[in-house]
Amino acid sequence: MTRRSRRLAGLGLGLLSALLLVALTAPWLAPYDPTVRVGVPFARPSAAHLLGTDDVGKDLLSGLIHGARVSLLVGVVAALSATVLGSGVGIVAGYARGVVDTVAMRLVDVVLSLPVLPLTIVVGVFAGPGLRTQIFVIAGVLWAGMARELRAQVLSLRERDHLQALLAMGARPWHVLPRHVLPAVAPLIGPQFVLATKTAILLEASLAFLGLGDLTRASWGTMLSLAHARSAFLTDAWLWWVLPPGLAIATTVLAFGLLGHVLEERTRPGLRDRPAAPRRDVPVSAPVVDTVDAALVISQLSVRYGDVLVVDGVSLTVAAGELVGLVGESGSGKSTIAGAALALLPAGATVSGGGVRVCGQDLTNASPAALRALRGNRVALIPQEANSALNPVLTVGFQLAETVRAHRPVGRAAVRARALELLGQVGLDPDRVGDYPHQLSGGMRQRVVIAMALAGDPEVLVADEPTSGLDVLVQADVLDLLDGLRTRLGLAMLVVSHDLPVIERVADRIAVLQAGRLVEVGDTATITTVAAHPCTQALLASAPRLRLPAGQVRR
Amino acid sequence: MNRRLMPALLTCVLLAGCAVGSGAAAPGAGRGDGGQTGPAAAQRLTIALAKDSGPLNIFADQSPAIDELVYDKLLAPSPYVDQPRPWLATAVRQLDPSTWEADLRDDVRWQDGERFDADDVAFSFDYFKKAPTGTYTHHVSDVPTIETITALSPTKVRFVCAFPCPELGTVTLADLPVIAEHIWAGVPPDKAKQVTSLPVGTGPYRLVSYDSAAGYRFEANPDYFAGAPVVQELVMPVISDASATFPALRSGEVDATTRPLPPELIDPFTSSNDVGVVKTAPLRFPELRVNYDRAPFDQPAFRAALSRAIDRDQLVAVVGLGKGRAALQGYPHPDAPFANPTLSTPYEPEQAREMLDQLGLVDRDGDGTREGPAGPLAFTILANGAAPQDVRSAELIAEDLREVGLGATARGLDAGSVADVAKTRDFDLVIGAIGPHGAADPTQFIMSHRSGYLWRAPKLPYPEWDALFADWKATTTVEDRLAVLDQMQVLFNRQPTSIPLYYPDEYWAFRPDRFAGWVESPGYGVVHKWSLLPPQVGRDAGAVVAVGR
Amino acid sequence: MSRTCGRIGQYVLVLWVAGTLNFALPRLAPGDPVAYVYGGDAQALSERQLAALRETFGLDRSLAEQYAGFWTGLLRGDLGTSVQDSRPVVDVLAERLPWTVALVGTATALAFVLGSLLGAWAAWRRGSKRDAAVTSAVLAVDAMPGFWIAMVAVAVFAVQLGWFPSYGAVALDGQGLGAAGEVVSRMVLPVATLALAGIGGFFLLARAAMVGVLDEPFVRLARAKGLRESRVAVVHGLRTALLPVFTNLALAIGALLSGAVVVETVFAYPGLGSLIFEAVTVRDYPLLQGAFLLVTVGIVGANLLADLAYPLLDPRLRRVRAPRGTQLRQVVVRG
Repeated sequence: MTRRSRRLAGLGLGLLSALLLVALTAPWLAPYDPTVRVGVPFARPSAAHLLGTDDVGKDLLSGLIHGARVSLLVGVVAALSATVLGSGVGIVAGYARGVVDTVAMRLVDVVLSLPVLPLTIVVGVFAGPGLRTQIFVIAGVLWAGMARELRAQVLSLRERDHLQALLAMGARPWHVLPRHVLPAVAPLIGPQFVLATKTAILLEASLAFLGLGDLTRASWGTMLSLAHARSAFLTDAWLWWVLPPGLAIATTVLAFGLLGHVLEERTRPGLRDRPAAPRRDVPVSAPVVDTVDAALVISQLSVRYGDVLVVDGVSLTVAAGELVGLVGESGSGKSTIAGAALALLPAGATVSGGGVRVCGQDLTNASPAALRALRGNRVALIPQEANSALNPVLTVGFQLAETVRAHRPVGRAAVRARALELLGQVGLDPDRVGDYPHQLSGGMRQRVVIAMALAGDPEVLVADEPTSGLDVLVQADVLDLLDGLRTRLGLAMLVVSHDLPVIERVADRIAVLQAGRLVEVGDTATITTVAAHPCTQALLASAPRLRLPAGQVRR
Repeated sequence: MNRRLMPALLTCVLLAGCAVGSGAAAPGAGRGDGGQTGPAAAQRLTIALAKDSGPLNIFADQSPAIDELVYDKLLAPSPYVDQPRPWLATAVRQLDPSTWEADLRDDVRWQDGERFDADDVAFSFDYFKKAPTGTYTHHVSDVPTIETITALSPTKVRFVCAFPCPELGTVTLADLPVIAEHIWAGVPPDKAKQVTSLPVGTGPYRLVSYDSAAGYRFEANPDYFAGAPVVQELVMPVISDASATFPALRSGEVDATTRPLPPELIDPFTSSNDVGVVKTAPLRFPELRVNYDRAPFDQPAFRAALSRAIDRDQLVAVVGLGKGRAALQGYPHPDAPFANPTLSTPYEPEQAREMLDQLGLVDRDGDGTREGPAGPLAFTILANGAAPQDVRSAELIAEDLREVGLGATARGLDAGSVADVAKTRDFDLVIGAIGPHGAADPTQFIMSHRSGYLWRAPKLPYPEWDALFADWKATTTVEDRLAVLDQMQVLFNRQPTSIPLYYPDEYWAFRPDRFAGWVESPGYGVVHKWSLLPPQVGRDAGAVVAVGR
Repeated sequence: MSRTCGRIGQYVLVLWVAGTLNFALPRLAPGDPVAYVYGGDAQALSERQLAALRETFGLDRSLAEQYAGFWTGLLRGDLGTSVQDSRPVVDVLAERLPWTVALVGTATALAFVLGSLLGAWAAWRRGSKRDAAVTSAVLAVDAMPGFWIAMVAVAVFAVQLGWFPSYGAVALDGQGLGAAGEVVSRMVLPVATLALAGIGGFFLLARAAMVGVLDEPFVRLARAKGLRESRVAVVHGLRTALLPVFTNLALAIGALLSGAVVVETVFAYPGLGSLIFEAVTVRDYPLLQGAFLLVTVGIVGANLLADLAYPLLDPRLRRVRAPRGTQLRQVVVRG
């Protein structure tokens, strides 16, 4: 958990414990019995009655304190019932599938489509007001959302290998459900319950306010209902009669909301907090003093994620017209180096030593504006997995055009002409300019990203696994394209790959990376024939077997 | 702000010619002393209605004060005064114990220009007998029973009753509005409720538009036979929530309201410079209804003990915030014209305990609660959960009952459920309220004993009452009837099935800078046609009493 | 398309359940359905009149016949007669509906725009102090009951400050600009309240979606292309992150309609929400049911609209190379 989450969760827990304490100790904490008339009606706040009295002279502070019990009781009991029902239906539906699932899910759809408060009012009217009705109707509308959420989890859980194996062996539901399914979805039930409690407390207040509560049992909702009915607005009484119960509700709901928010983020990896995007305000390393005047100079680069050093003192240069392959196993830090070449490190990563120079310009201490001027213009990136690197809701033409426009103030027609030209350069039909990424094949998408990289006429091109995810023939095409462009445009090209045999076909030099350190750098021929380092040997030996017969690549 | 500017601008433009400028409403004027000052006429008033009554179809929904802006009655103003005076009728006389004749005005026209005559009157009373309105129907077909209504000439109608009907001239003819034959003749009586066209009456105002979202708009009827109204236009939005009504009044968005000021606002509003407050004595009160069908409330002695156990002084002090009188004179309202002035329903808990002991309802196990034949006596007092004063009354009464050894708990229900239990009779005790029609109309007092509200005669045996009812039917004069009614009231309050809690005062807030001509008509508060007609008209009709009496 | 068909099937099911619920409730409730439909006056009716009424309402027929009759009536737009004032329920609903549509529509738009922008902004600054502050603040607002915000708004802005009117939708008098101004000034507080109450949902969704999108490789590539941060945030981040938020718009309309019940009640706003509450108070069942049905239809309609509109926003759901697609693509390229 990050600090932000910890802080929010701590705040929520703190508030909640305070409220629980108040609810538990209400009889001792409250100065008076809230059901007994102890003062004159409508008394203003005084030393004896800190929040004054209500319309018949009951102490408002005592009512406020005791109200915590009713609100929490209704909230927790209703949410608990909804959670039990919702998880039950969700788990059974997801587990049983088939007819049971269809029926249950249609029911869930229906409940979710009905207007919540009007529904509870209609049902509440027929059931008669009171705490039991409130709990009943609140639980009746809250279970559906949970059932849907849990069913999805159970369905995906069911596909996992160990469950499949269990089911194949004929394991019984009463064996599988409590031992294997329930523990797996339990972390999800927690936040669902907390968020349901929050909704339940709000609904309780609304129902009580609408007169569907029990006025003789003071909850915060009924206090507000009374204040409203007795014109607290029109006198100063709203200050001590309307504000405190409302704030009490808001505080309680906020406590549950904060907890639920944090818990929910924990269960969804995508939602987990990341530290803020890396800022390069503070120089973290000495400027690069390398005298070599290559297009791309990486010198003594170290990058760390928190305490882990992922790139350790890597130095590498790529000259104009040169194609350098950077190979290593996954996790060896090669993609991090590729990112560092554009000063685009993943969130959480920081340069802890050394630096990068592009066309003589030091990236380490460059301002954000200077970096932006460099990126796409002097140094461009060909990302891995073009499929996810293209924005799915924008056309290819739009994404190309914005790249062209990013560095050159050109007119609409010129932009379009340039976009079409770029597509031609990478061997794509210009008709495709209006297509969305999902309408293209994998190889075509890769060409689009390459075209985008070329849009700003860069001197340096960094290709991060440009062929991963493509089928063998297309891989070869793409590499040939890159090789051709390098020669034709005189680009300095750094190609990152885990696939040494693939890269050796086009690379002038090859650098081998292991655990963040360069273990071998040299001419392609030298590396592939007299590889000294065991890592290189392993890469040479394993990759072809896994990927493709070497002969086919070499043709 | 637009909202603030517009009324101000209109006031300036429209009242420029008026002799009474708003400058007359100096600070300190328009207080609840009855001597408020301010304009006596207005071009337009905005009056907040407490509830939506639809397009004023009197067969579907009755709001007398508003209905009677459009409609008139033969006698004015209502059955709640000692002697109603001629209105559409110029004179009424009793020919024999069960025959009445009315002479009618010949200068009255319906708002659509048709002439009003005796056929309309005969048609109206005939139609009320057939259309199932409840309220109007039983006043012509039960108590009293009008058998025939005949138009003798365009200005003369004769009513013949099934049994002596001396109160026709004091009650019935002052109670039922007259509708237009040419409008209603085409409507089958059982479809009367479904009519949604705007009403056509003979009254001082014409309803020109109605919309459940925007409310009502009335225009003055300049040809009104009693004189043109002093306010030309009435705009009546429906503000069903009291908490929205009074902010609007205080900020000047509305000029008056049909909703009386709740007790907690009386002091703040009275001390406000912008708002005027007048006090009236309404013919309504909150009551504790006793389910006479259910043991032990079916025992007269038990009901008598119940009545003595309730501390009415405390109720008026705590729930009514002291704005009213303790209900020590029983049922009906002591200001009702027929009320027996000798009635007394005191708070005597000691006597209540003795009476309960005598009934054999004693606390045998010493837990503080008496036991009956079927176990401990524990009752639920129901109240409308959305009406806090009702809930509070229930709570206080529960305390009182516990004092005399009866277990009691207050329980709030939604308004609809409260109305339901009155119908299904699934209750012990329920807090209700009764308005002028029930609390101050002598024939309704009889009817209430026959409708199930106070009793269900003659189905449910009640020999003493049946005997008095026979006496009542046999009497032929108003005086004799009142004498029997006196005995009926004594009988009722000795073993009440409805226990009045307190007789509230009513206070009405208004904007004196816009209009200050508000007067009280008994049972109608201040928003009614007599406030909107030239003052002399109301005085001549005996329709108004000085406010703040 | 089959997805849309499936959804339509689901909505028909919802409407069927809502309708059946309306049919069943009065018949399940204790007591005589005539008394139920006719209200307190049923007591004053004679046996003969009661029998006639039973016939009118078809209560003398078999349950199946009644059920069939109920649906044919419903499809003809016959929702019965209001008990309170005997007007056709349809008429009353027609007078109230526009106000709720205006209120909820404006509030939804406001909440959607403000909530998603704030949420996206918080995601952009995720992990920072400002993110934590904004998230906590929005959660706090989200924690306040709508009716309470309304009450405080009335107490402060209508009563104490007198800036806005405290009740109603429109004055019956007045036409033209003045009347329009009146309508707007009467909408300010209820709309602001509803929008405030609805902002939290959009905020959390937008923040979560944006956080997810910002981790997408295409956002990194957008930066690598040297695009301005604002462009990265808006064109690549927000544009994409709004899609799931938009999907939820229809659900949110349901929540806001619920909020409208309490907010309209506090502001005495003559919409469907306050109508539902009034109908409950006087037990006007036909009106209550009609309003409930209408609200359900409204939610289903909003869902359907969202389903139909979604492919316009998300090209992935469009049919590949459909004739209309070319046009759409043109639009997006220019945009």
